[in-house]
Amino acid sequence: MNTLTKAIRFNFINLFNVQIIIATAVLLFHLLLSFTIINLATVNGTAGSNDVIVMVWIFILGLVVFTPSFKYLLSQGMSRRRFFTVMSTSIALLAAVFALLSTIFYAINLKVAKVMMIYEFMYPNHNIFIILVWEFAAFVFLGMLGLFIRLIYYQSDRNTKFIVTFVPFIAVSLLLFFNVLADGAIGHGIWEFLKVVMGFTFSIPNAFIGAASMTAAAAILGVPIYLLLRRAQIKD
Amino acid sequence: MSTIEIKNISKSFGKTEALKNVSLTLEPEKIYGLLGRNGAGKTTLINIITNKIFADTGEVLVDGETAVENDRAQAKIYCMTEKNVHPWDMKVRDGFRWAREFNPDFDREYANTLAEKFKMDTGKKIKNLSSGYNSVFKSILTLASGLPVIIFDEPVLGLDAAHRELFYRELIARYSEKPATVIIATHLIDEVAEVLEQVIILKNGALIVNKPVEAVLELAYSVSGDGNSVDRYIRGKNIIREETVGKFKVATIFQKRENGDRAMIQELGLDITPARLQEVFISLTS
Repeated sequence: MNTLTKAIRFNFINLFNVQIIIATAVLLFHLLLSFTIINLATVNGTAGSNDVIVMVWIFILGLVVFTPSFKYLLSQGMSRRRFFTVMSTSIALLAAVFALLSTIFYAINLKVAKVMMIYEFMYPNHNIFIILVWEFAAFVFLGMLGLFIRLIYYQSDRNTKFIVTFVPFIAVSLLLFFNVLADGAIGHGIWEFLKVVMGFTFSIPNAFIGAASMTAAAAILGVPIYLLLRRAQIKD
Repeated sequence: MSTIEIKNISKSFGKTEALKNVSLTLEPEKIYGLLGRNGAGKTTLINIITNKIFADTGEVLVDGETAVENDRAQAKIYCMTEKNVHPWDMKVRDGFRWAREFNPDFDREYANTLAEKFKMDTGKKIKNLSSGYNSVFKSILTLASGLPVIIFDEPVLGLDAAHRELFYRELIARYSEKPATVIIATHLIDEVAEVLEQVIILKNGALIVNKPVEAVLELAYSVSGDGNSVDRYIRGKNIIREETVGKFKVATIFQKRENGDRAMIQELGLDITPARLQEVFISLTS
């Protein structure tokens, strides 16, 4: 077994395993809760969405796993270049595990409760394989996004952290302001772009296009992640 | 056998210059003491050697290869850091297991033997270890690493006297069995003095001494005897310590002995003893 495989195994056994167990428990709890609500209240509709739980979970994992993994693996003589490969592969594998979990729970939900996935709101094709692929892509993207945000903070000094925190709010405010000035053209443009990349422009929305776009976005995020990681130093 | 060459290393943190143009060579199979007061730059230098942080200028070579982002060079070094690098809920025995996974030279059997000697419960989680046992755990990982370069950053932090003695004994035993380049960064100079072959002293980020222990000890000596005679002898000399008990006095002089000194010591009936490494260290760094 080479070092990369060992390092990925290290991440799973020491950092991810508890998270996967807790995520499963939360999904199970959500399922039971939904089942109870549906049966008690005889509601017409849905009782929330279970994949949102996993989406939030993997995003947070992307934020928090970097530091312990980085500290340990660098102390084992691993270079940052290899660490990047380990982290991105670990996130992709974790996304695959979570996608599988989420899809299994979806399949159970179909039988016992009226819980819908985010996917179902967007795409009419409810083939299990397509759902699995789409969920995987969404989770990889969110995991990498979490890692990217963590690295921005990790590599920033106090002033930069302050700027980085407030820039998104200012940017959104400016966007809204200019959108009004442009008579909604900016918002319309963004929406049109999202429609294209998420595969909504077809007569039947295409989930594979959405999955491919999110995987591509995750890969693009890999570039700034690598650049930030290349100069990252152990703190404390 | 590995040689580490440190060439013109400088490193700043904001406005603080942690290391100033440090150059030295660490020869194979020698025990080095990396000494310096708090903030002298010891840990910074270790972190640069082990690729944890980057130098602003200069380079570190391990057997002629750069130490920066080089898996092959870093595979020859194991470093015990002051801070814990293990996941917070990992057990001691798992720490050993993973050390073996990443380093095939790690001697797990020896690690377990050491754990027994230190009476360390390997089933305990690392987060639940006392500060002393945390140091023991990290020292065991380093001693059992089997690598040609091993670095200890404050290895005896929090250890009681018996465990400190055991650590030094095991270090010597391991070194004689499997020689390596050993670097020990510590504050407890008197204790480590007997183990060291070479002393590296950093002061405010600059290298001020890189000499064999004997050569450093020659820089200072102590004279003792009748108070008046000692006072006569030390007049005009660079004194770093004086202690008087009744009529008896001891003075440590930080100055090379001149030709006439020995004769004068004999004439005054004083005893002469080598200074302690700690005394020399204090006088050099304060």
